[in-house]
Amino acid sequence: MVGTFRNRYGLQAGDIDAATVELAQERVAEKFGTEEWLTRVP
Amino acid sequence: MHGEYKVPGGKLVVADLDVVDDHVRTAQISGDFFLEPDDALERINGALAGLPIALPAAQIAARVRGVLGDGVEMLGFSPEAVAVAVRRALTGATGWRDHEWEFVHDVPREPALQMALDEVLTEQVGSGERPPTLRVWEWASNAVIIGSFQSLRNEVDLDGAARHDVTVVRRISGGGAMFVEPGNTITYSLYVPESLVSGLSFIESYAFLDDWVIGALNDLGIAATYQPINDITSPAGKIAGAAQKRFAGGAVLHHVTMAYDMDAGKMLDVLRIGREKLSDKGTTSANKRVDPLRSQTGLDRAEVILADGRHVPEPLRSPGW
Repeated sequence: MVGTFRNRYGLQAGDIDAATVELAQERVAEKFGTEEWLTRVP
Repeated sequence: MHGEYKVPGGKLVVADLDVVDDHVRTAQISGDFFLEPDDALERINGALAGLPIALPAAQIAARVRGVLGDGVEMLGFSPEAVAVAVRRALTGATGWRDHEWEFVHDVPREPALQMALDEVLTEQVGSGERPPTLRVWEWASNAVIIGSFQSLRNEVDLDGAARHDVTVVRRISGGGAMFVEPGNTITYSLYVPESLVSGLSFIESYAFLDDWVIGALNDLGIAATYQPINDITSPAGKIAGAAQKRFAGGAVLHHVTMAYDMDAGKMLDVLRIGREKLSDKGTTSANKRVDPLRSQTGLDRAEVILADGRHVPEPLRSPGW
């Protein structure tokens, strides 16, 4: 399927750098990993 | 002004508009569609001339429909598709090929980090920090992912989840709960600029963003189709579910989970909603509805992910599937 995407629209190799992962980990601590977010609708 | 709209499962419709004083002065519709009789195209163009640029798609479509009589045959498009192409021209919509797409086949990550990465990466595309990106996920552990607005208690059997070592997380998009085990699903996210879906309704944007993957599944021999609102299905059953989240910063998250090989028994221990759906339909049909990608293609998961529609490796197809 990724090959189909590449054939249709073009696709280059990218990456997720360490700073982005670190930012996401902060979001886990603040939001996505919290009981408050998980039980937003209990 | 120029706008294009590839009708999902249909043809390309292109609108070239000359706009003066907030009105369309002249319009030219073109594309690889079929249309009879020949002069119907001129009538469509004529119907678009003079329309105010703020006119909603439904009214544009009504105008087009109004000039087409009973004897008109439109194949691969419709008055609604013309309206979308016009709206896309008027709103400065971009096409897939207007962007430089990046692909990340990500390393296995924990469920909460997956949720966070979707938010951060969409923000980065919105700010222009990152080009539009296709990310294929790998899961580091079993997970249940509930929709943004779902009740944790109603959807998840927390004892069952603990028993099967399942981490429960909530995502930022709506839609229903899903159960994943590493290697059992193919999950991916598209992080796209809002301009790509400009001029499309929410429903149309699901079909539009799913069109390539339905093509990819068709290439693999699966009779997959888009099923409103957010499913991809096949004659053998549902294959995938999509969900979207629009960000204020001008980007859209569109993520999809496809079933590759699912343990229906374990799923029933963990998801309450699954029990209701299955009790509705009976166990026999439920069993039919699982592991469509593996059973329908006979391909390894990695082969499905990488497939380009040209080189389906025949020897990988297991006889008798």
